[in-house]
Amino acid sequence: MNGEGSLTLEAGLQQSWDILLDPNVLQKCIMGCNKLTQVEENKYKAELAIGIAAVKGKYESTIEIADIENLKSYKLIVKGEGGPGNVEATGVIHLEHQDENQTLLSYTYEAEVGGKVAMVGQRMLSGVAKLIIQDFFKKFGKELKNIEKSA
Amino acid sequence: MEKVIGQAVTRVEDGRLLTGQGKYIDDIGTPANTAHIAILRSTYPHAKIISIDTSEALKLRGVKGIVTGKDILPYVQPFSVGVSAPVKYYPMAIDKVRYVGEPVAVVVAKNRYIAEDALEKIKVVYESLTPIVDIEKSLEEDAPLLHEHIGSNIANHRTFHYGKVDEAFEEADRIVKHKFHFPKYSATPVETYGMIAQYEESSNQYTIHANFHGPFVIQSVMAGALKIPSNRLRIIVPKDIGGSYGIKAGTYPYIVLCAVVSRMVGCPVKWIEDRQEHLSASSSGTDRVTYIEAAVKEDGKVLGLKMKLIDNVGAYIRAPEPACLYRTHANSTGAYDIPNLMIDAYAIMTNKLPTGLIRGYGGQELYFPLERIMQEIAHQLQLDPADVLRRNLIKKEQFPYQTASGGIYDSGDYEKGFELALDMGNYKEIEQKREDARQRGKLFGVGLACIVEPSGSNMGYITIALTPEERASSLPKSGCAEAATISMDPMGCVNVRISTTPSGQGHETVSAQIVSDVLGIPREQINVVAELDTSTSAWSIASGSYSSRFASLGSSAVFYAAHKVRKKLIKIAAYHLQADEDDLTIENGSIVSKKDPSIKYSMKRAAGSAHWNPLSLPDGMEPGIYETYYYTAKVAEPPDENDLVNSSVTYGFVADMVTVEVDPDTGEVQIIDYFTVHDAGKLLNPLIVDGQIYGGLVHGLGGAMYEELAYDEKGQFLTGSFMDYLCPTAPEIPNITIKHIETPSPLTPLGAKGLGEGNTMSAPAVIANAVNDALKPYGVMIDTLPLSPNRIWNLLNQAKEKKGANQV
Amino acid sequence: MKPAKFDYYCPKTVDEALTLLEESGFDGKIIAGGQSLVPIMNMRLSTPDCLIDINRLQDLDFIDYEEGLVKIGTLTRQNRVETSDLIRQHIGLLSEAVPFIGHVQTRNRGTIGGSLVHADPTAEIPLALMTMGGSVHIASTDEVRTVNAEDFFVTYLTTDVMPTELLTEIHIPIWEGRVGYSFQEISRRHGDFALVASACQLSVDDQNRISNARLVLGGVESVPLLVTEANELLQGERLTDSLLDKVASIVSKVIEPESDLHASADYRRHLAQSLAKRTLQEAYVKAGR
Repeated sequence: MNGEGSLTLEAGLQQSWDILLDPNVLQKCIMGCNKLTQVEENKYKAELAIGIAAVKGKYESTIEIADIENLKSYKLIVKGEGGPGNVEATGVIHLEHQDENQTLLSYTYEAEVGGKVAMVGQRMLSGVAKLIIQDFFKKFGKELKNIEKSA
Repeated sequence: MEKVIGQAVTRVEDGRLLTGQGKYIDDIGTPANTAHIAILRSTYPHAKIISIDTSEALKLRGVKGIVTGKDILPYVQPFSVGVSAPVKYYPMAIDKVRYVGEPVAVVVAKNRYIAEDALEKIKVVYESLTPIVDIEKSLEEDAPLLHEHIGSNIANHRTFHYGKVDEAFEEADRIVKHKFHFPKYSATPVETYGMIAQYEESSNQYTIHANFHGPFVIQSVMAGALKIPSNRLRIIVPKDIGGSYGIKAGTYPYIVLCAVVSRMVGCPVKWIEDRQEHLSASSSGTDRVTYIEAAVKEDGKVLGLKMKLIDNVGAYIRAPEPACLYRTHANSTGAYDIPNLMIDAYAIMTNKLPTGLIRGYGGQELYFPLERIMQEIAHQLQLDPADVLRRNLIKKEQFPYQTASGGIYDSGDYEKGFELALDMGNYKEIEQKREDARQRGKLFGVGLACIVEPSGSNMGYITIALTPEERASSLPKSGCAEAATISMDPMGCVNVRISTTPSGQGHETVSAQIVSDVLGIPREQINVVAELDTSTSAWSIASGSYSSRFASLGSSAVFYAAHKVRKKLIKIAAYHLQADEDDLTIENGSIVSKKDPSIKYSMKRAAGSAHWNPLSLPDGMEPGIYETYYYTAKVAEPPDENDLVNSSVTYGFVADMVTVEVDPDTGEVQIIDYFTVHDAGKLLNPLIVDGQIYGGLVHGLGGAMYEELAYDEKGQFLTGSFMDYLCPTAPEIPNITIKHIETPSPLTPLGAKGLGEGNTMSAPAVIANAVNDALKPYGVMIDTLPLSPNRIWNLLNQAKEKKGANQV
Repeated sequence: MKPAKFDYYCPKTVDEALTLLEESGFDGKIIAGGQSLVPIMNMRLSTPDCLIDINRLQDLDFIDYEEGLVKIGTLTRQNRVETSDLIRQHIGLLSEAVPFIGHVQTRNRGTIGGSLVHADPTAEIPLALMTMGGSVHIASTDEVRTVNAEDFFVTYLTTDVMPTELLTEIHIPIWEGRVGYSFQEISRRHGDFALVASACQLSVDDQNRISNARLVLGGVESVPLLVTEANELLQGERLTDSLLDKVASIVSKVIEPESDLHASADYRRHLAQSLAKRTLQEAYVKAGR
């Protein structure tokens, strides 16, 4: 499964960049992320409950931020193992300066799901994956706004 | 008494099956203390196992033990295989997983619920490796290797030249060729795999109850894997098996796994496979790429064939593979008189579920390209496909017919069968139907197929996987032995014990019919025992339920065993009556003189004296009446030094005509009519015959239209439930019309041949031919299956685009 | 394939059920027919801590006629919906849709409310509810609220029903005047999930001009998709081939289908257009009769 998307962030480049790499924000934005602990620089362990409605599985995951090009792009690698199988997703996130208060975020992703979910859920898998990813960026946009407000 | 062989009598099995009194594996009790197994399976198609942490799972209350691949190593060795490639196949992954669903650990717990709770607590760390699933890419230089020590993904490769192939291709007016792909699909019995395994330390013996149905040659493979003398592995097959269609031959790695686990955990264990396990990890049919080339004359006569076959046996080659490549070796040229043949055969391994027997085994993979190319020959030569088939069919007077690759077709009248199919389908009026459909906006098509249905496998055929030189260095294998035992108790009542492990085909009924006719006893009074116990039954390596071997072999063993009993009874009577044995026959429960019917001796008395008064028996006669007969057909010889092999004993014939309508807007295919003519020699029970044909046909329909074990390009398995693995159900079954002709086999005592697999082999081909004919105006070529509406729509779309481009 | 451990409650009244729901919060799950939930639980893709079985709430099993409205209790079995003369007479689209759901055996167990709250994007009852412009009653210990179909479906398997709430009734308006409807779907086999489904209900005036049309597609989005733009276009028009083509191109524009094993996004897009035209045409012909 793969896909792409973009959205305009209501914040300048530096601020968007900082927020994007903030683990607290990351935890808030990743759907079903109950716990996020740093294990080394740019590498976290997380407990994720991924799924939709009542169809959810718990995954023990690692989240890694790689290929960082300051103020420009990075790669987010999520690997999870759990009861329903395994998930491996890679997202590449690009930021582009628009003006003082606007930044264009574009992303591409590739996701591999293995095990039970892939075996019985293929009918909805790509749609749900898209939904989860869109949800991540939507929440991220919201977080930025909240920070803007409180600032 | 009226003869019952050949009568459509109802089945003795049905009473118990319809009233819930069947005895399936899950109905037989378990020994005290039996624990239940759940299996942790790989979610990766190809990965190294770095570590397995079972500590949390072991803490769960009710968990009795957890066994991993490394743990079993002291108790097992790899299963032996019939190829020279040194593939190490164990019942559980040791250091690497090679397909999604491969067992990685086994939990033993008080019940299945707790066992599954524990599965979720086992932590496996994998290091994923590049998977390979594409058949042809697996052969490329830089393809990822499944078994590094072998050096390639090829498990077996053989090339065969029969006749004068080069000359045939030089002589030809035209070469018609194409590449076909037959997908991986399955057999999905209602009852999944199931077993109860118990290890007894004092005798170092494993006792297994399992719905395994042979071939029992695998019993020695299992004993070998368990590193024990084969009489220390007792396998007991229950009376009833809830369908198999071949796939339960694949229970054996799990039998070994459960056996070892029982030993290691120290209690009997039971495992019933669930549907997800069954679809992802039991066994399956073999997917194949075929390159086929036909050398043809302008009149449609085929002079020679070249075929490159590449079978995908999945992650490990295992018995009985590469049999899919060779089971139909003798009938590679189908129903046609084609004396020149070249076959280049490969069995390769990829990151998919390992394959094995399923109904039709090898036949559907063979006939899909063969029958498609016959139609293509007609199209290219602008001939009527029926005429092309007629031109090539083996003629009645050619029987027994020797095929290019060594088959001996015992009997048949193919032209008669084919013409009957065309008459049934009113082939002459087909253009009118095409026009009617066109008026309704539909595309009408007709498909034809003629196939030879082999039955009763020659145990020697699989050695064709080895070169003549390799074969020379081991003992030859031949025959197709099957046994039956018939006893008469002191009251003259009859018990029949068969070793054909039926899974719903009605062997008990037919055995009773045969014994009834031979011994003149009403069939209702005959008790047939279908349980097989390797420690007490008469069986041989070929025993079991596969290759449609009951009608040709199992029934023959029953027939001859009954004759042994008959002979003994007559001998006893002759002795007491002071009569000539040749003058005596059996009628209505009595042994009677043919010349003087007043001279008679009751059968009950004859049997009684064998038990109650053995001293009254003729000199040298053993007491009791307990006769076993081992039957084999003499034509099942080992392959010769030229690789000629008669891979089966009897060869039936099937001619199909199918009509379809395709909706050009949605790509949906509707089968209007399916006409099928069968010649399976003498029919033993026409009621059972038609039931078997319906079932086989619907399985073939599944392969043609619906069923596929699908993997994505990265090896993820996608059809783990009946939501996505689509078996035909009642609404999908088309109008089916069956007719029979009976050309008795000269080889079997009853003239019967096996059947029931024929339409599984022919349906994918004939339906594809019908759909291709419907799409003829678009110039498309169907070369893979299943024919989903999306696939048809894609073909139509591509054709339209091409046409549009041409017009520009 | 055994479910994880769960607590089981079997309330005898709606109030009791609502109290249990409130107590269990996010950990609770209603079970009615169980035709989707039980397999999901057996595969352990869903592991609710607590199941609240509403099968004894006979008050929720009814089909009633009221001025301009058919009311159906959430626990009404699909089979009863399928065979109800009342439904056939007044809201016939539903009668036409239900036989596409699974098989007789699953419809004997499956309930109308269960199908709605499960909210499978290809399911027939959600599609029919949306097409007919129905609404649902959702109860909690605090209140009973009414939600229109348009606001009910949120995304895949997700509706507006909160964990502490219970869907109790379905209200479907009976359209006035000359009404026609059609429900069609393409699936691999009978009873399978639709690759694409389309439903249309419309009314025409005495000049055969469309006075109200609702075209809805299933299987092309995460929820049943009301093709508003097409419905507006049809308003006041007689149905012509060119209008049908326009609707098809609107459909193509507004949907964003996904690919799966059984159908590619392109094929779904094509089917959506074809089925939209077919259902629209059939509904129009029926309305004109």
